[in-house]
Amino acid sequence: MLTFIRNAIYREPNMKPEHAKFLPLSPATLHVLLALASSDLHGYGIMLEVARQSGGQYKIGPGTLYDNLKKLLSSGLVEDSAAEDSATPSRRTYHLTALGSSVLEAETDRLTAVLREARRCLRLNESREV
Amino acid sequence: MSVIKRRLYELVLRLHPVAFRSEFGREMALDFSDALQSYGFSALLRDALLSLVRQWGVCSMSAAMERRAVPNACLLDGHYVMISQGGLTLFDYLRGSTLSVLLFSVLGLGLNPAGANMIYLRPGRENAPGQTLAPPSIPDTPAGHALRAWLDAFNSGDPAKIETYVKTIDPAQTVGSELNFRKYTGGFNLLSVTRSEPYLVKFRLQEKNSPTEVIGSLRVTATQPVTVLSFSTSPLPPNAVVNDIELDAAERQRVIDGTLTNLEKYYVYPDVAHKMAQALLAHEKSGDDQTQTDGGTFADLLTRQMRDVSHDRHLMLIYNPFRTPEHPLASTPQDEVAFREHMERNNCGLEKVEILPRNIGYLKLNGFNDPSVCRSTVVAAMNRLRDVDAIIFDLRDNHGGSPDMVALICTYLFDHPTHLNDMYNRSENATRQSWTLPPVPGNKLVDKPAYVLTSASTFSGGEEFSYDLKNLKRATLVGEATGGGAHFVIEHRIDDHFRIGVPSGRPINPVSKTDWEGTGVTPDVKVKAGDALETAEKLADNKLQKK
Repeated sequence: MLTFIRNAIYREPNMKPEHAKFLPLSPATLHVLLALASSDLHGYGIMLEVARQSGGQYKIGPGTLYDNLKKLLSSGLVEDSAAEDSATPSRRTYHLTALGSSVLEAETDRLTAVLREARRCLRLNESREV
Repeated sequence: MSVIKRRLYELVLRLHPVAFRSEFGREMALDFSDALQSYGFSALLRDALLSLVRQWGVCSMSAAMERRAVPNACLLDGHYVMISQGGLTLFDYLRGSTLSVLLFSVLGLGLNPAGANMIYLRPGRENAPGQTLAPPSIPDTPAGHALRAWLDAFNSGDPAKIETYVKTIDPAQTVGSELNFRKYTGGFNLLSVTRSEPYLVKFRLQEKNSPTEVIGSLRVTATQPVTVLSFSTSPLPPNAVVNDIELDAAERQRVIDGTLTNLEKYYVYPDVAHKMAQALLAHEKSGDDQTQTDGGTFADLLTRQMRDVSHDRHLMLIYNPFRTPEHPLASTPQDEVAFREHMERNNCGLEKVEILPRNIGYLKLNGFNDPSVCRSTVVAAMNRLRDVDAIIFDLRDNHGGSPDMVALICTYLFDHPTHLNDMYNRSENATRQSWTLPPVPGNKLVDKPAYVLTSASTFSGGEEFSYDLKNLKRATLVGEATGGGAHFVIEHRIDDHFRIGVPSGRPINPVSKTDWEGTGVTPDVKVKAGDALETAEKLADNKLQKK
């Protein structure tokens, strides 16, 4: 039986959001998650997508990639599966989990706030110089 | 040539720790072949060598430390190898040596339990979004003034101040509930004001007793005197991503459609469901809902439109300023842990257990919480009262809970399993009987006079307990007529931001053949809630003297 509005809602478990403990993300982790945001990819696919998303400015190699994937898998932000794609038999593909997605979203919010603050500060400096 | 390069790369891979190599070695070799042309051999080799160093570094830490590595944004986590870069720079060497020093410090601390805790502690509160050093200012609007008044009264913890607030600004609340909420949370710090209109203010709070963050929305009347129209505070659940949306026509339509579907499908009385659906459609047609862009206000509006027809206070459309999980009813392990912690902090809703003068037992219970978590707390309380001559259950601030806990506590008042209610559930079209449990060995309360204190805010499960004992003539009810909510609720998801609690079942009492929905439970002795305890003590005293 549900109860009065404030208490009823308050009776739900309440905790700090799970994703908070993952933030802030390292740039490599951020890019790997970002690469997986639109589709499931295998390792080399992630490497290409990271390069594409950064306009070729940053590239990560397999070593960096799997260091990160190992941690992301063990913390449940990413899942893996053997691909059904016959062109690349049994190559593992990686998939962003719901938790991974919420962490990515939270990091994006955090970065947005940082950028806003950075722009504000830079504008202030400019006006002082003038 | 490329064969030699691949062999060399595979050699580096073979030097990796076995666990890493067996999990990722093959994939890395495949990626190497794909990337060799465009990335260049030396860059890939350097990347693999750095990975080698990092993996052996990680490996030498305990498994526990490794598990912490990600959640704590470990030192090793920040690497971002830029393959297009030239050879190692001075910065790289400096970073490498700094890392080594830090790595040894971590290992050293890892061996020391106190130190390990230090690593594990994160400055979580500093990361809280929207938190600033100076308290945020509250807008100078009618809604802002109401928020200020509530925060001042609530945080003071002073019953007199809270009473003034309740009487003048928010008559829907009770002093008792506010005080309990205050005790539980320790008060609130205002983190930020996220939206301000003359009659609406949205804000974020942080509990003083825990890191729990709460999203609040307070809406007041546009007429004098300014009073609260709706006031919600919802703790952010695990994994919540805050996203307070502006409603457009499509979203409003989706919510109305979802509400109609769920009502027709699940509401306990199909005819009432149909009438509510008609009312919602009529309001929609007349354009009453069209201007609402605020989720909370829209949810309140539709809830009111439905309740105007059914008067069912269990029925509720709920807006979340965060994304609702796909399956809101499925409890995750984190939910379970959090629920247990919540119950522990709030002592399962058990506010007081006392033995009053003349050996009268007194138990103040503010919720009937799930026996799977709260059984031992309640059993301990009842054991403490096992030798009393009379017992008073104070349910004046009890807003309900689980019928199973109602049955568990009733068990102490009967010497045989007793039929309490038939619980009818429309969606399963089935009826489940609710009985007290087999008698508790050594229980001495079976024939002791029992009293139940009620108020207008005693609701739901609190009413079931009162109603059951009244019909079985096992307790004397003292106080006010109760709130009048008998239905039990199942929540359904409408979309990412809206869910609806639909009353889908009702108890049918074997004595009265009905329930207390809409009417409430009438006490045997009508007195103001504030006088109920004194009255019950006198009644018990008189009865004991006659013995």
